[in-house]
Formats: sequence, structure tokens, C-alpha cells
Amino acid sequence: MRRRHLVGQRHVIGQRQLIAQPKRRSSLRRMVPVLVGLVLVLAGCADIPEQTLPQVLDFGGGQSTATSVPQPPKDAGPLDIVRDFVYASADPANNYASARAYLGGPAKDGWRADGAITLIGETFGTTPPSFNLRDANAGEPATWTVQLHGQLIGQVGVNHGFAPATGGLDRAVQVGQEPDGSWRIVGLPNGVVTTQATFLRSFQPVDVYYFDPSFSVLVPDIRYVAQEPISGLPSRVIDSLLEGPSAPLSNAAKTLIPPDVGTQTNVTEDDSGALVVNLAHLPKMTEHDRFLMIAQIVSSLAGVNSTAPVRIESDGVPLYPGRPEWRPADLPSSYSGGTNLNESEPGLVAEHGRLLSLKDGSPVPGPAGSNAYQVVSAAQSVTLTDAESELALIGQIAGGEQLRVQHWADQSSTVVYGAGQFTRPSWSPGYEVGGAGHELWTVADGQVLRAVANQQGAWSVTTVDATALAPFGPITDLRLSRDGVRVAVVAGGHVVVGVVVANQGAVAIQNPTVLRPDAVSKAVGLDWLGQDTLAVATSQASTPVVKLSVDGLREDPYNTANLTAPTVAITAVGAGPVIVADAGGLWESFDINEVWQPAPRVQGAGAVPLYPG
Amino acid sequence: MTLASRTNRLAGRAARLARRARPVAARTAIFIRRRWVAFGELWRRSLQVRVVTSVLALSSAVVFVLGMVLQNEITDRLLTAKEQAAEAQAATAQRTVNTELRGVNPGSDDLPSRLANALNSLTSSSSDDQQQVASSAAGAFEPVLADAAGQPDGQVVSAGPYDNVPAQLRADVQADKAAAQITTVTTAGVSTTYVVVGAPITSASQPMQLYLLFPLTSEQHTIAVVRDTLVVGGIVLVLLLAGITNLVIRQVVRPVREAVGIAERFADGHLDERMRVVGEDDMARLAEAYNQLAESVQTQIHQLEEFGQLQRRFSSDVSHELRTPLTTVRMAADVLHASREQFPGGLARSTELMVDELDRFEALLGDLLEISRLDAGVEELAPEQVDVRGLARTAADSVRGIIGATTRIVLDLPDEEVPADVDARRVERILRNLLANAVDHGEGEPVRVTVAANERAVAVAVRDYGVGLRPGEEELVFNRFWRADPSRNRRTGGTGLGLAISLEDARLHGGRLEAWGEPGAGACFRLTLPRHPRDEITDSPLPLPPADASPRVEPPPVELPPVEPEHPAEPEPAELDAAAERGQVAEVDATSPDPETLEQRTEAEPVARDQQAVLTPGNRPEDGG
Repeated sequence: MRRRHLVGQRHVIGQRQLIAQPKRRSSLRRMVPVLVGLVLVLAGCADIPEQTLPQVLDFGGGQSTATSVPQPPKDAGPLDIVRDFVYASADPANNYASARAYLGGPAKDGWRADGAITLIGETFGTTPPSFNLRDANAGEPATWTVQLHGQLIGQVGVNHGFAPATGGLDRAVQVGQEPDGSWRIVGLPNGVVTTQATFLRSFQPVDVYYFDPSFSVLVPDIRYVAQEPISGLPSRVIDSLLEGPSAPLSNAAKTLIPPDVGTQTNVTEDDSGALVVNLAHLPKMTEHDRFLMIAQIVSSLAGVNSTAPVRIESDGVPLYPGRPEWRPADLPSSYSGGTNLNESEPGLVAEHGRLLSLKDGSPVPGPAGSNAYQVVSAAQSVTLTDAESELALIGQIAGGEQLRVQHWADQSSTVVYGAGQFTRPSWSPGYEVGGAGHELWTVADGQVLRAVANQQGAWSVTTVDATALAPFGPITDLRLSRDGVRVAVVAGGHVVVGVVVANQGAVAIQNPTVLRPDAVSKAVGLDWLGQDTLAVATSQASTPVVKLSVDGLREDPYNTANLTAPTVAITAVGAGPVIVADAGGLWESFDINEVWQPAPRVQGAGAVPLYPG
Repeated sequence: MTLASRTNRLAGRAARLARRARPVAARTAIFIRRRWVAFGELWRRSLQVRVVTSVLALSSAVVFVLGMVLQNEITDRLLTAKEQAAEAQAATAQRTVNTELRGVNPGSDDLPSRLANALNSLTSSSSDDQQQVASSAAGAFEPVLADAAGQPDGQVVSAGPYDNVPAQLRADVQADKAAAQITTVTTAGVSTTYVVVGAPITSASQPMQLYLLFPLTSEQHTIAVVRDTLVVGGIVLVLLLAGITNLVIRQVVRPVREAVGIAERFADGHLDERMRVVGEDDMARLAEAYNQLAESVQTQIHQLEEFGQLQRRFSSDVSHELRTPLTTVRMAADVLHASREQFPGGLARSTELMVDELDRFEALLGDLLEISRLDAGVEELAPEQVDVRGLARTAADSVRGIIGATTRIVLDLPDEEVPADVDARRVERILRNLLANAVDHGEGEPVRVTVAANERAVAVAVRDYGVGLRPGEEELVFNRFWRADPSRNRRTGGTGLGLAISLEDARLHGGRLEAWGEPGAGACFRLTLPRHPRDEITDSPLPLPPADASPRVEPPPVELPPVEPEHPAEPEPAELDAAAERGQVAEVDATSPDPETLEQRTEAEPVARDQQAVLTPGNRPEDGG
């Protein structure tokens, strides 16, 4: 029995072993994939991961610069919303964020603000809304259509230049109610419409400079760039400069910067405080051309950067060999086009047939100062001293007037031309013909004349092609700008500015622009206050003297105090006071807000003041 | 050719290929299995293979882990260095771009060109059309500037490859946090992994984002080179280790193998084999110890041999020496015996006793001489072709002659002749001895002699139904002078050497003599002899234990432990029954028509049990001739 038991046990043990063996093998087999997986995981760890989660680093950017945009008042009605939207549209910051606060519904994302900015007069209307009955019936928030209408002034295009326009603006703006009851603009045409004054609060006029065709003088071209942020101004100025001359100047000014040149980096101050202009894609240029280009850049930046030197580079290396940094003082003063007044000898005045000095009232030496020629008007060429200057005199003779030319203190004069009536003559810098004092412009009996002296001093008179000015009416005053590129006339009471275009000896006035016909319609005289500014005397009682920007956007009336309308003559130059003549005499003013002061040395009515030019 | 036929042909070819591939796969599988088995064999048997394989496996694991650790470390350092440099570069670039974008106002400025210009300040290249790449201490990078919040319609104004900046990083940087991230970008099928560092730009009028994308291509290349180097180095290292281990283990294994060979030869009887002792190392000490062991074993074997020879010679000498005086005594005794009638009764009885004991003495001496001759190996086999049945009959007849009718001897012989090349005298002696022993212990039960043969061997089994053998006594019965019960009364007066001589005789034939017994069930002796003396016998034509023994005493065959495979001739129980049946039939046919044999056996069962119950160790049946 015992043996049997043992046998049985062994039998069982044997069975158990038989069962246990495959079990062990199967567990081993199960472990193989686990091991392989482990190996693969290890191998995977040893390689560079393909993807990780972001890890925050400790050099953060500090506080966000995002500023909160003021929201329109909750209780503003539809008309207020439209009005405020027009005002808010002037601020381009953050893609017109403040204007977008007035938008709702589909317009919020759909409104595009790029393109030209349309400027309207300060007084604009919003006609009362008319209900959209269908929307009201549908139970949806009512949509009101507000008509916005105003006086068109012009447009600031994508090149930041202003182009005047006339007429009225009429726009339909849909205003709807948001769920919270506040009104928002829900539908409007693309593009920015704002008033001129609000526009000028957000945009700053800057002059970018091009050259006249003879590359002798820098010609300003007015652009409007966003004021804020101020640190971005230089970049915007350079961007504007690189865009080339604006349309009115397009055939009268040249730029040395090829059209496809861009900036390599943004125009910013570097660590040393210099303003870095790094140009890209510059072709090969002569050193002189580079210098002229530098002159354009430095002059253009001078309006927004008074202190920092300008480092001009091309692809990271100085543009002008051996001279990386420039200041406006490094440029020859002749580039500025004779706008600087000779302080010690500040112009003349024609009074009672005599030419007197504005400085002390003393007469000009010679017959011109002694009423020999019956001088009613005159012009002095732009020179450093009176003694070097040439004089152009309009003298009264029987049945008409004569245009005479003489050197400053000469006893004799040359009669160049005779006609029934001359406008005050205007000296051209005459780059083409040998310098100041060799070219003279005037209007004789409505015809624009150009008198040119040859090398021997013989004068010849040609007619200037002024057909472009013909539609504006008879020309009663003409002033060449002191750089000789622009010409401003009073035609039919309006101020018209054109450019002088010389084409194979023939000279024409082209691209006429009427400046602010809404504000200036009775002009009597004008003079160049600067290269891009005019001082206009009018017979309008409310605005006897007006300062106009040459592009026609800005119109700033001078203080009317002390003046007696109408004014009859005006002269102006960059540095000196504007001098006007009215019935009471001569008055001078340095600023548009200043009260007119009597010119101290010359008194009496009928005097015609004239600065060189 | 139509498309269909072409398709058919293709399909047929594929099927043929598949058919051809199947046997190939099977063959490959078989080949692999064989190799595996061969390797398993080698693994079990060769210490060298085992050690070298283990070293290979373990060193591979170690090298792998080491390589992983190394590569991890290198990757980590490379990445950390790159990220730090990238971070520093990003901080510098942030300052530069902050300066560049100072005062930039989306809406009033041309934002795309401003951003492009700001990027220009980071890069030296001036070309706009190709991707801008700048170089720095942190390596080349591609800058990206973006104004994510600029446009009211959700569009992002950007310069550089803004799409490559991952969205998560954008979110972080737009939240005014500088952050770094690794990302992979696939452009035109080429995927590049970048470290992207983003930093907020705060100098413009609204927040903008600067990202620097540092490609990790060179780092990946470095890591690939490191990995390749590590892999090659690791493989070489592992192979070298394996080679070194192989060399080293051979130094150990070679003496061990030599020792194995020497020990095997020693076991084969070359007692003079000794190991070489070289040096003083462990192997030398092992060799020394082994040699001492071999020396001592050899000495003892020699001593035992000498002792055995001495004993055998002594018994042989004693037998010889006793023979001469015994002859004299015998003659004298025969004279006395012949004239015993003249002696008074007591004397005559003594004479008879003396003659009887002298007979025994003579037989004993004869046996002693026989066995000492067998021991000395001087006995020669004289084989001749005889019918074993005849030998069995002769032996049975001679034993019947001795014992008279006290015990029936049943012969169970095959019908046909059983020829074998045997020494008839010796075989007859063996059978006589076995029969005498069986009669001696048969308790009067009939003794059955069975003869069987196959093509290689003949077997004779002598079965009795006497007291049987106790477990373990199957081997002891062949010992010289062994008695199961020393006090047992002798009936046939065997010398105690009969079975020993029989065993030697069987061995002389190259045969076997085996015994089986169960207490109460009787015993069975089986002689198996090759038909030719040179033949090797593997199995026996007759079963042992006998077919009639198992069902009565042994447990049922199904519950038996697995039988040893060395007995392939072990018949199934069914065969056993069949054999028993045949035997009964043969017995009825061959020996006597007396049908009571069966009954006797069935009746003998309780008797045997009773005897077993009565028998004490003191009166166990005595074995031996």
C-alpha cells in the first residue's frame, strides 16, 4: 500500500513537472515583448525627442504693451456713434483699434482701414436715421441707416501724400443695436473717413526731400505720417522718402534713390544713439550720387530727428566711404534753396515810386531809390549781401509799365520788357543759366513771361506755357519758389500751385493744384514762406492773411488783430516776419497767432514790401 | 493571350511557388529545430559553450545598458547645451528686435516690411526670397516674427516660417512668456527637428512674438555618429570578451577534459592512467588528489584481486589436497560398506551414514573444484548444436530419477525443435540444478519447465509454487553457500554451490540467469541463452515474473509504476494472459493428460497463503543447490 502511495505521488509530481514546464516557457515568451519594449523605450530615450511640451524660460518680455482702447459711452445714440467714429478714425494706432471700438456685428472684422484716408471738412452732417422696417418687424434689433455727409478736402494716399479734392462726401452707415442695447456701426464702406483737424492731431506732416532736375537744391515733399509712437517716426519718414516724389512733383523733382531700394533693417537708434538707416538692394552708384542720396535722407530725417547723427549704411556697410555718420550741418547750405534771409539786410519796400530798405527805410542807392523809375513793384535776387544782388523793377510809364533790370547800386538799368501791367517779378535761382540774377519771371497782361539773361548780360523774354493754369482765371500774382521748382499764382482769386517743368528749352507750368478753394477764394497776393508753405494775403475780412501748405491740406489763418481789410500786398521768407501791406501801412508778424505789429521803419499806405526772391 | 489566361497562369505560378515554398519552410523549420536540439545538446554537455554563451549574453546586456546610459548622457548634454545657447541667443535677439521694432505701429506702418527688416537685423543675409538663416554661438537659426493679435480678422502678420512654430509655443509666447519647445516639421518630405525659442516683443505698440528656430540636424548627426560608434564598439567589445572568455575557459576546460578522459580510461580498467600535474594551481591539486585516489583505488583493487585469487587458489588447493585422502577414505568406506552385512546393526548404519556423507563430500568437492575452475577462467565452452528441448527432458528425467514421485515435473515444450549452439553438459547441469532447487523448495507442488525461443535466444524457465522468495532475495540466491533459512531441513542435500555454478555457466555462454519469487507464490528461474555463443541477447522469449504470477499478488498492472524501458520484451497484460493460456494448452498436450494441473494450481493458492501465514522467519525455505 505504501509503495502504491509513493508511486501515486511520483506520478503526480511528474504530472506537475510536465505542466510546469510549458508554463515557464510561456511566461518567458510573454516576457520577450516586454523586454523588447523596454529596449525600444530605452533606445528612444537616447535620441533627441521629436516633440516636447513648451518650457517657460525666465527671460520674459516684461509687461505687455497692449493698451486698452476706450469704449464708446453706453448711452450714445446712433448719430453720436457715427460722429465719434469719424473722429476716432483718425487714430491709426493698432490698426485703428479705437475706431473699431465703434464697430459691431459683421463690420467689426470686415471693415478694412487700409488704403487712402478721406478727409472732410470740420463741419459734417449726419442725417437723422431712417428705420429699416423689415428688420424692426422681424423683431431683430433695428438697423438704422445714418447718412454721413461732409465737404471733401482730399485724400491722403498710400504714399502718405495729400491730394486735394473738391465736392461733397455722402456715405450711408448702418448702425445697429448690440444685445446689451448699445449702438454700434454694423455696416459701412471700407476706408477711413475723418476730419482734417482730427487727422492732423494723429498725423504729423513731415518733409521728405528730393532734388530739382539739376540736382542743385533739395525740394521738400509733404507727407503725413502717424505721430504715435514717436520712436517709429524715422522709419516712417524713410519709408515715405523711398516711395519717391508724390504726384504733383513727379515730373519736376528727382530722387537719387532707385525705386526698388528698401531698408534692410528698420530705422532705429543704435546703442550709440545714432539713427541707423540701412538700405538694401542698392545698385552701384558714383560717390557724388551717394552724397546726394545722403543729403536727401539726412534732410528728410531732420524734421523728426534733431539731435542724433544719422548713420547711413548699405547692407550694413557705410554708404559713403569713410564717413558713416551725418548731420544736417554736413550738407552744403546751397541745397536749402536760398530761403535763408540775410538778417542784416532784410529786403526792400517799394513806396511811392522809390525803393527803400526794410532795415532802416533808407532808399536804395541810385535812381531806383529816387523815384526816377516810378517803381511800383520790384524783386531782389537772393544773395548774401544787397550789394551783390540784382534788382528787377516795375516802373510806371505813360500807358503802361516797364520791366527793368539793374545791378544793386547801378545808375542805369536795362529795360527788358514793356506791357500794360506786370505782376511783381520773381527771380529764379536760374540753375540752368548761370545762377541767381539771370532768370526772372513775371506776368505781363495775363501772360507768364520768363526773362533770361545770357552770359553777356543780354536779356531775352520768352513765354512760359501756362495753359495748365488757364482754367483758374486771370493770374494776378506769381511767385516762383526760391528753389525754383514750384510756382504759386493767384488766379481768379484762388491760390494755385504748379511745378516748373523745363523740356528742351521750353518751360511749362504743370500739375496745378488749387489750394483750399473752400478757405481762400479772394487772394490778392502771396509769397513763399518756406519751400512748402505760402503766405497769402486776401481781401476776405475774416482771414486777411492765411498760411497754406503747398499740398493744400493745411490752412492756417493769421491773427487778424490790427489789420484792416483788405490787405494789398504780402511778402514772406522762411526766417523773417511776414510783412503785409494794408490800407494803413505795413504790418509784420512772426507767427500765425501773433498780433500784427506795425513795421517800424517804413510807414504809410501803398507800400509794397518785398523780400529777396 | 487574353487577360484571363494570363491571370490564370500567374495564379498558377503563385500556387506552384506557394507549394514549393511550403516544403522549403518546413525543411527550414526542421533544420532550425535540429540545430536547436544540437545546440541544446552542446549546451548541456559543454562547459565552454555554456560559459562563453553566458558571457556573451551578459556582456551584451551590460554593454547595451552602458551604451544606453552613455548615449542618454551625451544626448542630454548636447540638448542642454543647445537649449542654453539658444536661450542666450534668443535673449540677445529679443533685445535686437525690441530695438528694431521700437515704435512700430500696425495700422500706420507697413508691418510686413517692418517685421522683415527686423529679421534682417538678426541675419546677415539680405535676400528676401530665400529663407533667412542666421548663425550664432548656438548654431544657425531661422528667425520668425509675428503679430498674432494684429489683424481684426484673426490673420497673423508674420515674417519667416511662422507655420513651423508649434501652436502650444505660440500660446505661451502670446501670453508674454518666453518659452522653448522641440518640434519636428516636415517640409517637402524632409522632416527637421527644431528647438524653437519664443520671446515676446514689447517695444512695438502692441505685443509681438519673436521665435528662433534652431535646427537640431547637427546634433542628430552627432548622436547618430555616437550611436554608431557605440554599437560598433559594443559589438567589438562583446566579441572580444567572448573570445577572451573562450581562451580563458579553455585553460580550465582542457585539463578538465583531460581528467575526464583519464577517469574514463581508469574506469575502463586502465588502472595505470594518471593525470599530469603541472604547476601548483587548482588543477594541479585536483590532479594530485585524483592521482592519490587512483593510486589508492588501484592498490585496493590489486589487494582485493590478490586476496580473491589467494582464496580461490586456497579453496582449489584445499579441494585438490582433500581429494587424495578422500579417495583413500572412500575406498576404505566402500570396503566397509560392501561388507556391512557382517557388522552389527549400529555399525552397519554408521557405515551407511559414512558412505552417504562421503558422497556429499565428494559432490561438494567436485562443485568446489568446478567453481574454482570457473573462477580461474580456465573453463572452456564446448558448444555444439543441440535441441534444448532434449536437454530439458534429460534434466527432468535425471531429477525425476533422484526424487522419485514426490514432486511432479511438468514440461512445457514447444512443438518444433529449438536448436542452439550451447555446451550441452553445462546447460543440462544448469537445468538439473534449477530443477533440483525447485523440487527442493516446491513444497511438493508440481514444478513446471517452460522452453521458448525467438530468433536470437532460447529461454528455459523453471517455475515452482513453493514458499517463494522474499523481496531482495532474487539476487542473493546466486551467492555461494547462501541459505534462505540456515535451519531448514535439507531434502536433496545440495552443496550450496549449484546456483552459483549455474550462473557462471550461463555467463560462460553469454546468457543470463535470473530469479523471481514471491513469498507464498513460489519462485521462477529463467535461463536465457543466445542461440550462438557470440550473440548478444537483448530480450528473453519468456517473461519474468512468470505470466501466472502477476495478477495474484502484484497490484493490477494499470497501477504499476512505469516499467523500465530496458525491458522492451515486457508483454502487455493481454499478452500475458494469452501466453498463460498457451502454456496451459501446451502443458495439457505435452506433459500429461492429467487435467488436474489447473485445479491444483487454483487449490494451491489458499494452501500457499496458509503456509505463508504459518511460516516464521525461522523456517523459511532454503535456497541453493
